[in-house]
Amino acid sequence: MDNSPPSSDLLMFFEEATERLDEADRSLLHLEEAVIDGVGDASDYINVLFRAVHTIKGNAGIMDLSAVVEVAHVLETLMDKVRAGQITPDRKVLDLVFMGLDLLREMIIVVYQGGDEHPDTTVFLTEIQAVLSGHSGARKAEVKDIAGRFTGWEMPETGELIEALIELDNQQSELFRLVFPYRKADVAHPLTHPDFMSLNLFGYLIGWRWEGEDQLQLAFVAKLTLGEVEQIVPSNVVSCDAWPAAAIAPEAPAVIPVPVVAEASAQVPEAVLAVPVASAKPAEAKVSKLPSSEPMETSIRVAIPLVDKLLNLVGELVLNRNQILQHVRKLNDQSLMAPVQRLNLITTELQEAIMKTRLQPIRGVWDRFPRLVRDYCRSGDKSIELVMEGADTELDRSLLEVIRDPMTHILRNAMDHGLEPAGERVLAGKPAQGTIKLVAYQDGGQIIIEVHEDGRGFNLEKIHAKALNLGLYSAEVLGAMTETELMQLVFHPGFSTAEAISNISGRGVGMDVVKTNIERIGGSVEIFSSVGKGTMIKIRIPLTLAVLPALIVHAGKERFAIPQSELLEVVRTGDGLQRIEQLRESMVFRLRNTLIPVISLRAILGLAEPEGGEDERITNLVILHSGSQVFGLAVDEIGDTEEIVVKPLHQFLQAIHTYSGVTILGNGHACLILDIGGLLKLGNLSAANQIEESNKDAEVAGSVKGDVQQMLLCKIGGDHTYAIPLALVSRLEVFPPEALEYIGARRVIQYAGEILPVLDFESILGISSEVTDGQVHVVVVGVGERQIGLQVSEILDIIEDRLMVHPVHGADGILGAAVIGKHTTEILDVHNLIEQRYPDWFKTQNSAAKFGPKAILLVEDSSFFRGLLRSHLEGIGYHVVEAEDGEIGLTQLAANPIDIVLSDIEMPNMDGLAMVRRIRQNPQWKELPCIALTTRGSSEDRQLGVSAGFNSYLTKYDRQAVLETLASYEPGGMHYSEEVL
Amino acid sequence: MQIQDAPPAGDRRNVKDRRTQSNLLYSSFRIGDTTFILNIHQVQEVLQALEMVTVPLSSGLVAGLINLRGEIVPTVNLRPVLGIHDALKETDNMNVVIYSPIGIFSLIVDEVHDILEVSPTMIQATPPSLPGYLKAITNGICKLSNSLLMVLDVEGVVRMIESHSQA
Repeated sequence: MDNSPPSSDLLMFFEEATERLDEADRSLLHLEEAVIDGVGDASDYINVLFRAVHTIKGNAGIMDLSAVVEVAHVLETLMDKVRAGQITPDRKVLDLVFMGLDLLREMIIVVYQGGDEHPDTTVFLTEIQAVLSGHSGARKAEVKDIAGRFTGWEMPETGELIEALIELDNQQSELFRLVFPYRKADVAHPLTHPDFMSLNLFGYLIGWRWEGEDQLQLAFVAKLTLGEVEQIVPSNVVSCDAWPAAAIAPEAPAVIPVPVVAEASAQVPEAVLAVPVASAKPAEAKVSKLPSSEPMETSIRVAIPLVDKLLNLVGELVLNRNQILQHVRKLNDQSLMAPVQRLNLITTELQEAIMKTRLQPIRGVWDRFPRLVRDYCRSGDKSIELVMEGADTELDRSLLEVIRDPMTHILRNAMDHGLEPAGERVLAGKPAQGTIKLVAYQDGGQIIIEVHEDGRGFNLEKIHAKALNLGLYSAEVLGAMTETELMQLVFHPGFSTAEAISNISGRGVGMDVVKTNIERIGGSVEIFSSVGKGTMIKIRIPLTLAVLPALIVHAGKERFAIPQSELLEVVRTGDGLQRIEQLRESMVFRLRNTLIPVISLRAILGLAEPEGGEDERITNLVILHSGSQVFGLAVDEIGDTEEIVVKPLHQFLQAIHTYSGVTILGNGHACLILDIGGLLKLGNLSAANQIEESNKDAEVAGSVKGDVQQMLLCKIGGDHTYAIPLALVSRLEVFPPEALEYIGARRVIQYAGEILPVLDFESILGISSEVTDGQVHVVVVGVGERQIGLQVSEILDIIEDRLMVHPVHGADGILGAAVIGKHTTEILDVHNLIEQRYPDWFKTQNSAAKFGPKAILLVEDSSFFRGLLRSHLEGIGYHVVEAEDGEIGLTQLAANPIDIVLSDIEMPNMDGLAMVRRIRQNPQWKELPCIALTTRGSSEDRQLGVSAGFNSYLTKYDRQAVLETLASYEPGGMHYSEEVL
Repeated sequence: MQIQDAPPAGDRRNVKDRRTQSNLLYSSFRIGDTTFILNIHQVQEVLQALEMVTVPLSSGLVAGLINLRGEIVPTVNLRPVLGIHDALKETDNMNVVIYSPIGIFSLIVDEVHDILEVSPTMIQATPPSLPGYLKAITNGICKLSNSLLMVLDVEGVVRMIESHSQA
């Protein structure tokens, strides 16, 4: 291909030829319908076809495209003969015309693109010549016509006769008249008489005539000269002469068939003509009655860039109009009001009119479909009727281009997967012929396109099995899915339920691409299916791309536009409503059943808080999606939706990926359009939902009181849901499977420049934590200074609930079980799990236990925490005495020998501070180590605790610190072990 | 004196008649203590500050965007380059709209002076002693009896902004 742009002549030729071919295709389909099904009048379509091909031939001649001319010429000849009734337009002929039109299209595209590899036309030309020369008896009429002119001649109608006459007609052969001296009584069958064998070898003997009783005249057709014939004729020949074909006919021109068919074909028996073609009446008369398919110039060709420019200009005008309107309203000047209103109206109408110039009927895309369906039916065992409604529905031309391929794909799917073979349909009590219905209509600012099909419907079981097979979801997730959810799985890449890959579809590429393409232009695709009854695919696309609806949001003092196509919903959060959960630096929000990450627009753009100190707790959350990632964007205020005209960003700003463009709002101000993908990258959310280390202060304090726990729910091994106390969780990470490495039998992952040991549950709890969705989900747990990863199958949710934790006996690594939702969920004992796998992890504490059992008084009102701590402390050799509040603590202290007191601060009856003051008042306990274990971690609290008499002040749940502190009160001091791996 | 728009062709011819053939017309404006001159053919217009929308995360040199009769034009603030770090006031800034190889942009200036007629011989190469930040955005100086004018290098400004936005 050369890169120079096609000349304007070539462009015009290409456009016109393409239009003509489209027209010819349409007519041909109608013709086929008319011929095969006997619907409609074939002659109109034949005329249109003829003219289309004729025009292409003429234009191609001007462009000096001889190959195109050649193909167009034979097609024209064929159509002409069909029109004249000389050739019956049967399937074979129609197929040839289809083939010819395709060939022309292909050649024209090659020419247009400047290529020089012309498609091979020889097969087509050979076949069409064969038809033109009437092998199949299609030209019987013509042959009879010629034969009819041999008045007084006997001419048995055989294949040979026809061949001969055609050769004669095409001037490939010569006709000779031979005279032999035979008696009529001796020769019963002159043509097969042995004496003439030699003649039959060289040509055709086509007829005879008895001149009197003893002179036999034979008509001989052969590709020979007279001299050659003289050499081969039997020697008893009386005379031998060339017999000009013209001489035998009363009207010479009629021998060569020309479109003067009126009288010629009038003689043709009806039976020969399968269709009422134009030949029955004078062709010219017929043509004049046709509604003209070439109306006088009601349209002009306009270059697309010009239309685009007009559209841009009118966009500017609209913005300007908006500004003027705003000002005039402020001025309240009546004399200005009227003309401005007029300006308003005119601008609106102008905008609509210019929008319309870009609109084209969807027919442009659908036109190819009847052909597609026809070809499919011809090659398969299905019979399909294609119904199109609303083909005149118009949409922006750029959108038409985008939906062309997705629609073709959907149609192919419908034919190939959706509709059953005729036999199956009949068995199911349906009509043998399947129906595909395309419907298009406008609904508000959207165009809806529906593809209905009365086939077998989606086989949910197959989808289920396939999804399982592909490892998309686990069996129970799939089991819990609704029918609608299951159907949406077909949009997943690589998903195809076709049993066999046919040449039409089923290669597993498709629906995902369809969805991506449609979504790219701000549309959506939905599937509705009912087993055994059929499927409907509904596509929604915006009317036009040039103006797009956007939501204006405020962050700080600034305003930003978010394209509506990226917007899922808007949620108001805050007091009395569901809150955004703050996990140290990052935020998450529970949107129905999924946890989604949240980023603050103000924070991410580094904007100042709006003045006036708004209520921090009330935030508007805009739920957005970028690809498959759904996330929340916290904004200060939600504004209006506006129709915006997108303008490109200046080059100075293109390095910032947060904005996709800029627009001018109704008030005349520039407004940046947010790039959702860029925001995600900036928010660092693209890789995984990160949940930062929890806020150990306020959050956990709130959760401990009254046994309200925060738990991270996750799946391990597919079947069971486990809970991990959220306070232990630092982050949630997702790694590709290849990130997992092994050191001996232990798994590690390189993480943030360090080696993160990863616990798999297979070796501990006997649950396999296999990789199910192609990703390794790791819950990073902070234990003291170090971190460890827990490999789980899936992260489900974070719950905050009042939990009744029941002990589970005989299960190492399980802290207890609680009912979460409606299911019993086991709570993992992370420390125990770590110890099982890495016995050295808590070496410090083990060494502490060397000095013999020490008695610890554990004062804590939360039974859950008490249980948790007790199990840990006892696990490393302490003797634990429990107390629920300060008062009981003092009683227990008096009743038991206690080495160390470990106490909460906030408790009913007597709090930890009061208790420790009382302890210190007793000289016996002046030196008793008292450790505060609390979530009140501010320095004032700490000060208060120490002055009340606590030796150490610890933050709850930091188990490593607790154990180390305890160890430091041991006589032997502390032994750290860093080498735990 | 301020020009509201590039002078129409007719005016320019009149001016041309008055000056010697080789003299050129320069628009002059001040940013902080520095006075710049720029060939008037590189200036589209001079305008009073329009309401500007700031662009969060942009480099400090791109102050924001203004709507110039339907065209969205970035405004460039060279003050930080000249060592002035005062916050921009919303109203009292003049804008010089400049043609650049990558489209027009608007330069925020403190004051717009007269149009000067300068003979090319008066423009000298940038002296090596000039601070680097000034050298990057000028391609010559013009010494007058009582002042020193810097010839603004539009391409240099563009380069500077682009290097800032990549940083």
